[in-house]
Amino acid sequence: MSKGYTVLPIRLVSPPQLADTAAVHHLYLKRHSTTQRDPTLVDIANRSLFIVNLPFGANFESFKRFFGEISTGAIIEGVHVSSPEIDLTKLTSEMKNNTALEFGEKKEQEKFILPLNTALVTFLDTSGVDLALQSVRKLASSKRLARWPVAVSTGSKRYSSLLEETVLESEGLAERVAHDMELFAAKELDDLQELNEMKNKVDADGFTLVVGSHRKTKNGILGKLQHSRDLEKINRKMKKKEKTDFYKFQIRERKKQEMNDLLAKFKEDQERVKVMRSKREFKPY
Amino acid sequence: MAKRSRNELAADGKPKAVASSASAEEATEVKVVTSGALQGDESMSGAEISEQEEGESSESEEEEDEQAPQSKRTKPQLAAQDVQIAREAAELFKSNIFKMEIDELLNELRLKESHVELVERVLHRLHDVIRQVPETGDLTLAEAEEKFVKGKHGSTSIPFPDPKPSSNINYKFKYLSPEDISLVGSFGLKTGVQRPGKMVVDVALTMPQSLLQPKDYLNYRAIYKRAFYLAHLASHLTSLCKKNRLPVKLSYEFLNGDVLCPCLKIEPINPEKKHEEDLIFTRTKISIRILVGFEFGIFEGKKLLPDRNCIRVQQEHKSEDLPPTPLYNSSVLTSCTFSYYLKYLYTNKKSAEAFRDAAVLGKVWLAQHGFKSHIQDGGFGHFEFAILMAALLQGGGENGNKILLHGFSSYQLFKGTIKYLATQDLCHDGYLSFTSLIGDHNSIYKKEGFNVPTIFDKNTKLNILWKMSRSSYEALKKQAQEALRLLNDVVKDRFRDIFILNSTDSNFNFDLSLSLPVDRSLEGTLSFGSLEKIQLLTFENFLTNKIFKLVHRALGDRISEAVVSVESGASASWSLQRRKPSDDSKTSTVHIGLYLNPQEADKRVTRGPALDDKVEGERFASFWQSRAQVRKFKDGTIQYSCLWSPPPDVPVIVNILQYVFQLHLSSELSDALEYSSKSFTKLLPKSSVSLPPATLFQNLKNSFDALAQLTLDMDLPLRVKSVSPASTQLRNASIIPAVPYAIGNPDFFNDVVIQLETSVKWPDELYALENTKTAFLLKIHENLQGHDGYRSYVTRPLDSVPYNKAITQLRILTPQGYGFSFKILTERDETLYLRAVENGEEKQKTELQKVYISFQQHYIASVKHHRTVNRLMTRYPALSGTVRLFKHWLDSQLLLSHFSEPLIELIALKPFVDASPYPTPNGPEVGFLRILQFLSLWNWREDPLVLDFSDQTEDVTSEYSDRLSLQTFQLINNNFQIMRKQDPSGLNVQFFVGSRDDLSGKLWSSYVHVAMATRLTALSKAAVGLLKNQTGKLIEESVLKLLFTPALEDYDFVIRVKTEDNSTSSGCLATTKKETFKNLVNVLSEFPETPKEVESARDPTVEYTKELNKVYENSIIFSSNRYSGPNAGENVITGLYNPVVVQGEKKFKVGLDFNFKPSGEGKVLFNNDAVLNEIITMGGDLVKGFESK
Repeated sequence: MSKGYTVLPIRLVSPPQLADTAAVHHLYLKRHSTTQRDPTLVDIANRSLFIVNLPFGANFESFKRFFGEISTGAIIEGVHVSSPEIDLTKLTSEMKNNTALEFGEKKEQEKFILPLNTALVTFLDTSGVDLALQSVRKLASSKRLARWPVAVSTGSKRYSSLLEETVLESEGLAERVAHDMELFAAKELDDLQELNEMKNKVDADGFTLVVGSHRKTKNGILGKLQHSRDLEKINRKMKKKEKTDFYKFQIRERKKQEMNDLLAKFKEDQERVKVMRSKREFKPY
Repeated sequence: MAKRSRNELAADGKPKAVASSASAEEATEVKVVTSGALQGDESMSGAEISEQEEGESSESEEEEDEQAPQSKRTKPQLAAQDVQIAREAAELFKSNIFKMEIDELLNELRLKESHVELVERVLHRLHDVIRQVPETGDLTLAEAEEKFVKGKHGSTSIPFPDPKPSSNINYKFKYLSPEDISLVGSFGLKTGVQRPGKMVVDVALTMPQSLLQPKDYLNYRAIYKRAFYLAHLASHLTSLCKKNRLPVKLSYEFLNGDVLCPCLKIEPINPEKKHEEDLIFTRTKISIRILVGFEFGIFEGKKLLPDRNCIRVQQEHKSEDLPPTPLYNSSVLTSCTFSYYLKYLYTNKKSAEAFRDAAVLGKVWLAQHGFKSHIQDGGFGHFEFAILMAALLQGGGENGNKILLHGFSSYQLFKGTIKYLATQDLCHDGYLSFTSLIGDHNSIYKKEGFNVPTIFDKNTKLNILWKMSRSSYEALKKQAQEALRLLNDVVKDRFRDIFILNSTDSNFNFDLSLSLPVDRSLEGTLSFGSLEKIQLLTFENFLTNKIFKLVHRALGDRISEAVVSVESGASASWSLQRRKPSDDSKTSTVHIGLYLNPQEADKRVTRGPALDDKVEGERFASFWQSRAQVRKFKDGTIQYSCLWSPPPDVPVIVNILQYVFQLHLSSELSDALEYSSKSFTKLLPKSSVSLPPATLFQNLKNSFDALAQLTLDMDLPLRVKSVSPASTQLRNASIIPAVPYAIGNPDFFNDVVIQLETSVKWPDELYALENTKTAFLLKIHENLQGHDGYRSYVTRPLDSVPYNKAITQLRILTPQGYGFSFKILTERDETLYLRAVENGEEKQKTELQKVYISFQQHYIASVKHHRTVNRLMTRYPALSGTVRLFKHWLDSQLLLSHFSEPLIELIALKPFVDASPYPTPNGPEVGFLRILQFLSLWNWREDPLVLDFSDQTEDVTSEYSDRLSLQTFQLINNNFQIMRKQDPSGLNVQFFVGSRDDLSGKLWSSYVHVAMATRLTALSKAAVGLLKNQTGKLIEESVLKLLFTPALEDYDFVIRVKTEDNSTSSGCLATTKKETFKNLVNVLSEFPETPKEVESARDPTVEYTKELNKVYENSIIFSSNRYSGPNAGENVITGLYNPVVVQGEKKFKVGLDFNFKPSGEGKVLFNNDAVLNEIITMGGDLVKGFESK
């Protein structure tokens, strides 16, 4: 027990290549707690175990078998394993309601953001959690080691199916793409309508929003002026037109600059040679 | 202070007069100061080193010395002085830094003053000893020999050259005290510098005039008399030195390999019983050489001109003239001019301030490129360089105009001399004629050469370059051209390339090296008769000459340069008891080094003269004999020609040489011919189709072109604008050549990026955008259905931009049996990815940057890189082979998968686009070796690699030149400095490779494990170390094999993986299998039925390793072969622990990214057992065995 975690040692099945060694894995478990306010999330949190330090093959099937073995009666509803993810839709879209469309709605449980190497195991009801936690504690204090079932394919099967699964059936794909595009178009239309409404609205100061023909969303217009690159370009253009050798002071300044540069370079070179000497780079043989 | 006030004044702009007068004052002061400084400099470099160096025992003291007087002066003067020096340096030298570097180098090389003093004392004592040697009366040959054999000082042999004097000679031998004893050579000239190994001080004795007669130049007479003189001296010195407390060891040596001129080598020894007066100079590492010369002008120079005969031999046909004996004549003349040329050089040194420094620079440069005065080392050393420089100070132009001026700086003198060597032909087109008469400035370049390298001294009638062969002259010229190119480079600092890097190892130097052992007993068969003997003196010279001529005649345009040298087994020095060096080996080895002409080297036809040219035709036919035939070519010409059809794996050039040697030397010799690429060609995996790689790559290109045309013509909602390839196979850079239907080859699918015409309608969100792209890919897929033989399907790529799960690609299988992967790039992509970086939360930023870089790599940079490499592939024909060899080496060392392929290719490009100090490689082997050498020397923590892909032969000043400008170069350098400031030890980016394509320099080298980068460096160092032992011979096959064997014991554990022979499906022959019969190899001819079968044909081990690396990202680094085909499917996975994670206790916290077990209160440890268990479980049936340390 540390920091409220129960440490549960479990036995890993030794593969034939490593027959003579017995490996023990350690699961760190505790009841999940959350700071979320959303009642459904709180409910899920109450029904969940938070598990740290996952063994290989930690998925729904494995956990179901594992808890089925050590505590009958605690029935698992779902497992959410942490995986590093970045929602690129959210970051790239300027639309209002910008969640990922493509992979359908997320399960409620997956709204929890988990740290690396952890998982959330949700049971059907709170008594399931209690039951599971009880048997885990009992098991942890006893000498007996529970076995960890690996319910994923391994070896050549695992990797050839990984390669095979990259192939997408073109008909199904076409349908899905069409569907997603429709959804996206609908959303885009929504945003556009909102924008059009704003275009017609006169605000308190008597201004209206000007909308260019290419802009499709409100955020796009109100978003930061991120085109600093364009600004630079304009500046450069302006600079080009200036004459640099018109006034005498300009020429003098330039000459002085050159002289200073030369000197600075000289000093810099001296330093460099000193460094090179210290590294004995002047030994030809 | 004054400087600041001047600034202020200038800023005002008004009181100009005051400001300018102030600066004028300063300027005059500066003049005084700098001239003083320069004088100080001069005296330091001049003859009186001793005064300056006193008290300066270390470098740091010297610095203080320099700074001390400066700090006394006021600040403005200091600045102004610096400005003056800086300006002067920029004018007189290439750049400031170059001048400083030269100064440092000269400093570094200076002889230790204490050593010089000691040697001077030794020389004085030696002088006294020599004066004590007793004189003799006239002795006959028999008496002379008798005297030494039974002499009381032990036996001493007279070092008579071959042939020994016959017993019936009627002249007498005699020893009289030398007329003159003087210090000659670089020590006498005070240009001596430290050398690797031992330095030699030359002392020249002049035989009294009375011992010789004016006719003695004939028939070895003077030479025999000198041999006796030397032997007498030697026999007495042995005892006299002991008596005079000078413990030394004496032996004979040939002066610079000249067999006619033996000299006495005096080496210091450390006697067991020391006497306090003993002068021991072993620590100086200096040995003394006593040369015996003749009085200057004793023989008539005219009679010893190179075209005269001075050895009269009996001849069968009396009517014919005897052939000239240039080597003999020059040797005699040289012996007359030992101290004469010293005086000449000394006068020149006095007249030009920087002469001494320039001579030292020349000496260093020559040494780094393997040139010395010794006949076997090219016959061009310090002496020849200095004479050339002196001659150029007096003229040397075609109108006698001066090439060098006396006021030149050392850099300018050096560069001028190098330029002369590089641009003026002293062999065929003309020669340099000068006179060593002091005060007579008459040096002129004369047209029409003698076909031997010539710098002719009209006063002494000596050809200074008499020791050079045509072959060594060509080599020198080539090196000089290379050096000149480097000296003209204004972008990079080339000091290191010119003076510090050593490029003498033939294995790293020549495009193709051959070696030929020649038995001495073949003298007869090769017609080395008495006439040849008087002309060329030794069998070695004869061989060099003969083989050089043969090679040139046989190969013609195919080579740009041939260097032939002969190594005899004879030792350099030999004991006094013997007449000549012992030679037990009986064989000499001829080394032939070739620089190839890539355009011609591999042509199968040697074209000769046209049919109507009878004279030339006959010559051609008599040279090639049965091979010569008359052929009609496509363009209608009818020419004499030879057709070559070498067996596979034998280069055409080797085939030609084998034939020619058999014809003109002997068949035994031709069989014994060994060449460097022989063992290399065995290394690369061979394709299962018996076509050369170039053809296979071309077939793939044709298939691609057809598909690209098809795509461009497609009727799509938006027109296809471009179809750009980005694949290793399409740029001839893949290990296994493009074999059709070889779906097991990891490179089988060629990435292609498609761009459509611009549209404003692309969705403004990433996944929707990817969906739209998928829709387009599906359209292309539909379109392809109508074309015969094409098959296609959509897949989700396994490596692509991370986190973007919507990316798809279209796999296309063409009727020719090749595969392509299409993906689409739109103008919207980059904006969206950039937006993601901008919108991301702080903690996501690094990940998002990774996403952006990955996008760049996959879509934009890869195409650019492909274009660049592809262009360079046509410019450098050897590049393809080099890249493939290098990749193969990396893969055999299990490193390939840790570096991106473009990074590897960029590193491989380095020896091509920036070959210095070598010429551009034209053979894959030498290219590969130079990559290894470069990697072993590259200190990536401190140095960036900046590549310039422009054509180096192009005119630099041309407006359209796409050369890297100084600005760009500095920009890249700055980027490197900034990057290293943030990451000094290079944990994030190790290999900074900047180019015009990638100014940031880290596009392809980000996210490499630092452990793997260090391993690459360590491995290349080990490899180069192994190869260094092979210097001077061809690389042994066993050594090469060792290079390509992985060092598995370096890893923490090794997983043996199930072997399934996939060589056939990868399209190659397994190299590990001893015998593969061509007819047993299944040639693939069709694709499997379903896309899934096509996709899963690749080696699962690769995916397994990938997953392992992903899962255990922080704790273990896994490596495996990417290409298991060539090993018949054999593969291993190795693991290397990250010690930071694996060792020691860590505090328990949620989110620890490794598998741990409890250890004490709140602490955890890495759970190794469980991890290994997991790894093996994951591998399942793939794992065959497991070994750990």
